[in-house]
Amino acid sequence: MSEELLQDETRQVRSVSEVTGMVKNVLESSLPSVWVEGELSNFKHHSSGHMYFTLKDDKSALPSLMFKFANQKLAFRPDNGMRVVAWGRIKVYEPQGRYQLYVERMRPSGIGALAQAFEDLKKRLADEGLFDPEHRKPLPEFPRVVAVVTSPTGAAVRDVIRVVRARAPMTEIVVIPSVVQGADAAPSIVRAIQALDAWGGADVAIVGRGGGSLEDLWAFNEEAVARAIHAARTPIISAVGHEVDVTIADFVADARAATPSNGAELAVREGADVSRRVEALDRRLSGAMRGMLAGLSDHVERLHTAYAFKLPREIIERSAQRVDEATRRASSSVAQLVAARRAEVARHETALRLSDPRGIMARGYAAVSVLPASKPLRSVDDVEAGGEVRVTVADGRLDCSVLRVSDSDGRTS
Amino acid sequence: MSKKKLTFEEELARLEELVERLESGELGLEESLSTFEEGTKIARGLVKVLEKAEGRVAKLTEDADGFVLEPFEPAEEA
Repeated sequence: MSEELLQDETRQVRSVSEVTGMVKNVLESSLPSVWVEGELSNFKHHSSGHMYFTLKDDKSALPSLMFKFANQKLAFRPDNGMRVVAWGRIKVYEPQGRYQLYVERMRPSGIGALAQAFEDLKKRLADEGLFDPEHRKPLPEFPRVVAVVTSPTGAAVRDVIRVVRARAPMTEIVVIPSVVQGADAAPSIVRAIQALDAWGGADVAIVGRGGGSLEDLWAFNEEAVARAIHAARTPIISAVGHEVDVTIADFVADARAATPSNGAELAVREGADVSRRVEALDRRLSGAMRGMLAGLSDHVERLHTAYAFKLPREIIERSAQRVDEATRRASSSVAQLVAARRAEVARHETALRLSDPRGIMARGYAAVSVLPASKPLRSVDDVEAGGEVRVTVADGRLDCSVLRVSDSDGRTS
Repeated sequence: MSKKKLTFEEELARLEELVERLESGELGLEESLSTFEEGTKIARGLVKVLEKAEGRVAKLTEDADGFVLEPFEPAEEA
């Protein structure tokens, strides 16, 4: 051995563990997490529940594993030859001195595989009962606050604002910003839906985005998003892409909209302008009350004519005026109505008291009817001399014989 | 029955019910007037809530103190 090499050896000798530790440090700190696309090979689903496989492309291979807790959430059944996109951390397995990808999330890449994943997840969630209609919460009839979980810069948020404004201008719109495309979309949407519930201020929420490719819309086909929508306490309308796009979110949401604009239409239905609604109800309330007062006035009139004597004309006119006044007040503003109303009642009660024959009799008037028929006596023509009449006074009655009948000019019949 | 605060929808439903009862014409004077009074009170309460709404557009953000609503202007169409 040369002197030189010997010198080098003594200068710096490290243990295997030390070197492995250094490699581990460098690798794990520079690659905290990565998205990797590749083909599955050597796939093994171990009896422990963990999955072991190699991700490869035409030049390289990356040993990978996916623990049971992570692979239980897979939306598809992985198999050799399948192209996938995986997300995980590179870690060094020290006993064997090799590095591996610890996969936490994985989805098929490419259209065919996505379609398969969609069908698999749809079936699994359907079997679990997540799409059962009894889970669907009814949408509020008159929402005052509509939340929108979407990108704050996308077309969807503008569409929603435009439609809600046109239908019910007083409705408050709260945007809950979310990433809606790419790898971060699903967890971002989940967080936004959780924030929606934690905040709790919205009557209904639209979750969605504008149109795009199947892969653009993929987050709305992810299990985590489906479960977040299912778990949400706020009623959720899924509004993803165009009419033709159907996502897992559509099945699990409380209502499915074809587009974000349509989502806004479902949230704020035609005629859902609640201020107009309240006004209409208020008008009906006043109208019915006016009707009641008018009925009351008729009743007063009937009382006036039902008895065998005429009230002084002045009283009738005053009653009619009171009813007119009450009617006018009942048609004025809501605010004035309440105060005016009590006064109306008091006046009507007075009018009724005045028209009560007992009150009048107490002042010395009497009601006279013809016997034996007991018809009110209104005219000298109603009775002849020798006939019998009944005179009713405040505290009793007198049955009388008629001695003589004369009209107001003193002519005796 | 507990005296919990009714939601906007429940208040609205109650108002609707009162209007229908009053319109039925089957109530006596006192009942009509109390129905009318309750209905008017509810209608005024609902209008007050609506006046507060103003139809604003906001963005929900979360900071250390909890949720905050910030004014939101959608970006212009590109």
